Amino acid sequence: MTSFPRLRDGELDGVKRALLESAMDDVPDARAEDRALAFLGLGAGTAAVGAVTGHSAAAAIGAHGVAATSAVKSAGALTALTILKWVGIGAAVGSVAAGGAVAASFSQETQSHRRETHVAGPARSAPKTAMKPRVDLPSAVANVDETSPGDAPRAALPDVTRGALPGVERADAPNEVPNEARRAAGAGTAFVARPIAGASATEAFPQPSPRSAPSSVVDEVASLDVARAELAAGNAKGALAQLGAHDHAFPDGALTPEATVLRVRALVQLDELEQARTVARAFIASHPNGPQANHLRLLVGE
Amino acid sequence: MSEPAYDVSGGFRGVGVEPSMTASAAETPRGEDELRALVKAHFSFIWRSLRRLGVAANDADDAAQRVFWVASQRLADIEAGKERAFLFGTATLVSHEFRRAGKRRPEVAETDVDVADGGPTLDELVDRRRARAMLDAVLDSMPMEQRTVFVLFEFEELSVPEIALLVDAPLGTVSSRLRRARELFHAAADRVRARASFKGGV
Repeated sequence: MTSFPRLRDGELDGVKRALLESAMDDVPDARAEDRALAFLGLGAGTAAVGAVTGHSAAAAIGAHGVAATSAVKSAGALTALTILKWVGIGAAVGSVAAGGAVAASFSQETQSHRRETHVAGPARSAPKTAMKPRVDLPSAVANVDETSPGDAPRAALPDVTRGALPGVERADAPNEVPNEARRAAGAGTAFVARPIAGASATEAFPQPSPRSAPSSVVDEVASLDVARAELAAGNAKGALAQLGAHDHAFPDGALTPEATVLRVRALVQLDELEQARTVARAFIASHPNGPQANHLRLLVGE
Repeated sequence: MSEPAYDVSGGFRGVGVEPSMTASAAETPRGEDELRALVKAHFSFIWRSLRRLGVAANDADDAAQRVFWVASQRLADIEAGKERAFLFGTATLVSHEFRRAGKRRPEVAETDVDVADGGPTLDELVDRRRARAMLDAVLDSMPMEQRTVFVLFEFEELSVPEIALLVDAPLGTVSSRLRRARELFHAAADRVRARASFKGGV
């Protein structure tokens, strides 16, 4: 039974070998495990989440975090969960040496909030409105049962039932972007290119401003969700249009790095590789050490 | 048999689930240690598996976290020595849900690998990123049970007996799935090459 040689160990034409080998370097980044630990509330990831990685936005992120946390209390479930997802990302990007302690503290709090809301386990006290499940696991289980009989390790499988995977928010579902957020963000307006050419990297990617109105984080998240939804639907042009509108609406936004990653992804999707590289290089020049920089390097193949 | 239910205020109530199972095992020190050990030992494997089972790159972190969250809720149920099987089984379910939520195209017949529009030329196939996307398309053309065996054998380099243990299937079944998966891989890859050749005029 074990006599099968692996395909890559045998003779293969170039195309098949390229296909197989393309998967071999598809591995999690160095911090992914720490993020998982933090998500699970195991502490080890807190330092990673608050690690020294990016620009001097710890205070700004902290301010936004307070705002976001506050907003969670009043916003709808979808928005609240999405905010926490994005703020978590922002904390990872924004913490610096000078603000490390603040960032770490905030990150821990954010992760804690995220766990409570995102995971929303049975013992949690999250409000019922925050438990809206976006992932219908029972149907997934049913589908798996239908499509792959015998494949799941039944004896070892978890009892994954309706309660096993509670409401877990994913921010990129096209159908769940609030219409009002879409309207507020100006979806459908023409794409206005950012002033990349001739501008310094710093000008092209302004640092998040601690003076940004707290509520803008809510709107920023909603705005970027529209762009993410467009991308997920394969509408890169629509995503770029939305990102242009986003730039106009949030010139000093706290989520500029995330917007940049989305823009580069959209350009790559359109095969506008030169433009994608230009945008990515400008961002990397101003934020060389952040996780988004690494992501962008991968996206544009550098 | 009544259907297990989830109640926000009352917690999880499932058939065959003891009350002790309703609390997160991660909330106890012992549970924390076990869960941390699980993450340390298997996170990378689970993340890679999720990707190869069709979870998009930008969803892989979330999906992996969800797998381990499920494990945190079921630590007491996981048999010693079967931790990886538990996690992989969970990853299979989670990957299915993420693929569905991501509106990725459904599994298609082997003749329907869609590479005609925007497909690569031969030269472009050397581009790893494109090759990875094409591999996804090829893997998407496989039924999930064959895909699972294929990725575990070809990429994770597990043996057939190890895979049989992991997917709880007989050795012969795993071998036949692997054979069929390879046939599908060769056929799909040949179509990719043929279309790329046509496009590139080779």
